[in-house]
Amino acid sequence: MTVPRQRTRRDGRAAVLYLAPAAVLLVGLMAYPLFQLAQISLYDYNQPQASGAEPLRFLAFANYAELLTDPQFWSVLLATVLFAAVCVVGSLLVGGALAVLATRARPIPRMLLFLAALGAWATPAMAGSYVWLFLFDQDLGLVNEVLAGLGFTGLEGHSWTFDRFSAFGLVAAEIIWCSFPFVMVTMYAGIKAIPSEVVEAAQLDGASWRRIATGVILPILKPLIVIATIQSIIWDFKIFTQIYVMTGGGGVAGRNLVLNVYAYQKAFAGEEYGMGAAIGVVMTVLLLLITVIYLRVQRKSGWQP
Amino acid sequence: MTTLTERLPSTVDAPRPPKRGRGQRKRWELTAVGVIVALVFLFPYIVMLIGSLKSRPEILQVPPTYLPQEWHPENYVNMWNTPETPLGSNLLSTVVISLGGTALALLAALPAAYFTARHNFRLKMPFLLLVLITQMLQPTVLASGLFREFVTLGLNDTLFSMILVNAAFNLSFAVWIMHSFFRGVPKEIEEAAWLDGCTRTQSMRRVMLPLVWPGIVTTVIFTFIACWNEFAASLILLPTDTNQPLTVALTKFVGQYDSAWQYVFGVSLIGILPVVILFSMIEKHLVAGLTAGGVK
Repeated sequence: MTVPRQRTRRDGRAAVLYLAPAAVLLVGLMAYPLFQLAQISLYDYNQPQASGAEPLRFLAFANYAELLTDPQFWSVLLATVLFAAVCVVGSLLVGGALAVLATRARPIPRMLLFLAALGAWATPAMAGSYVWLFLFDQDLGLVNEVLAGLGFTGLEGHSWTFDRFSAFGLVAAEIIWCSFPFVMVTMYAGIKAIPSEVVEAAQLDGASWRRIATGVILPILKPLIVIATIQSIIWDFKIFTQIYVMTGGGGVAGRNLVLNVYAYQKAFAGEEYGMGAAIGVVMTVLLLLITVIYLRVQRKSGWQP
Repeated sequence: MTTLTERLPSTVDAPRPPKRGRGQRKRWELTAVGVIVALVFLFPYIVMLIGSLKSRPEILQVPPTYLPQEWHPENYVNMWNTPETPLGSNLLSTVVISLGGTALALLAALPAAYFTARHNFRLKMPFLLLVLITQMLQPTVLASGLFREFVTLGLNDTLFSMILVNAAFNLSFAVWIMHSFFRGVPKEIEEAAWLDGCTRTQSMRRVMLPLVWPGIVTTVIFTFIACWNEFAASLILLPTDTNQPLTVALTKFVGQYDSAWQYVFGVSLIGILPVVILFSMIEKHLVAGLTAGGVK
């Protein structure tokens, strides 16, 4: 079908009109700082250079070469990926299960569930980290106190944040606690927005519940599930506050570091801004890859934005 | 997953007469599970509430006490006048930044989401992908660039700069959610409105916006909470303590050797309260499923 020339031109103008506010905001506040990040990563840019005491030295890709040969980078990367995976799967399972529970529960427990969800969600990452840290504090915390009271005397004065896996586990629990509500509310809104006629029609056609769930409801919810999953991956891959607060900046000898905190430690604590920017660029590229792979998979299964 | 989804269909049904026997018992089990789960997730609040009412020596006591031996509700008055931070200004900053950031994000996202949902054009996928990509960027990494930019524009250390940052960092999310809601409304409904003589503005206001209202409410809640809780960018971009939001103010109460946990928890609860109230006010919009009536 051929579209009249005038029509396309008018559409073009409309597109500019509709998309301009978003585009201006994103270019102004993302593109320029990103350009800066990429630029800094190519320089030897430490404290003397930042204060102007020494001139900038162009390194090309030497920061990246140093980073990719550093065994700590690879161990931090592996920890980041595994940690994010646990958090994403945990949030999706807990959030999805509670959304279904909320649609089935009576008004009062449902209200309580939403109160808990919105409360956890509304809690700033900072406050959530502090209260969890306080709960699991080796001396001040109620968890050790209760466990000791239950007869686990070996746990008196036990530090939950010292061991690498126990520290990661504690932070993961806090992150699932504050990120399941997003999944829950999205899924709940999605389930509630399904027209009852659609389900009734399938029922009249004699479809079983299982068939309706997988053949009717899931496809309708799919765009929301896709969004929830992408969002969770992106959020959990760049976790900063919780790790920073709960493990005291990355744990003993940096064994609880994730990429974002690693970049911050290099750039701001170590004052190696060039190296910190290089880690930021690597992180951004990795997230880009994750998203591209995910969209490919989704498009193969018929999803179109 | 199958057990979850098997139960889904009945949730979209109109209320049915309760079944006797097994169904009834199942319902009660669900209620019990709901209450228990909710209590577990609410537990940190109970800790915060109790902690916020303890005296400073008591909260640092080993072994810890379950309930305060002395109640100190005056903590909630005293925390507004501490040497650590001007809490009143911090609260005002949080409110201004959150309202401004949410409004700006929604105003920029709605037209873009509507247009990309309704029209096919060559740059549609690149545009949506670009929007998605911006979600991966983060204030901690971009902070130095943002700071230089705001200095150039004369906006550094202003609330407006944080409104811009919050709107930009939440835009991607708002566009994608609204895009999926606009796509959920069949084109025919809108075309019917045009045939009935509605102008584009009228059909947008009277037909489209009511149909995607649950999406708008969802977007507003998400964005507002994200703005309300933003921490890293404010920490780096707002050096003046009266401009700093509550999240940054919280850190002032935690020192390396001496922490005012009672104020940390009191301020946290004050910060959480408005969001919970906001949610309970608009909860019915989330659950109403307004689209259900329109698509027939």
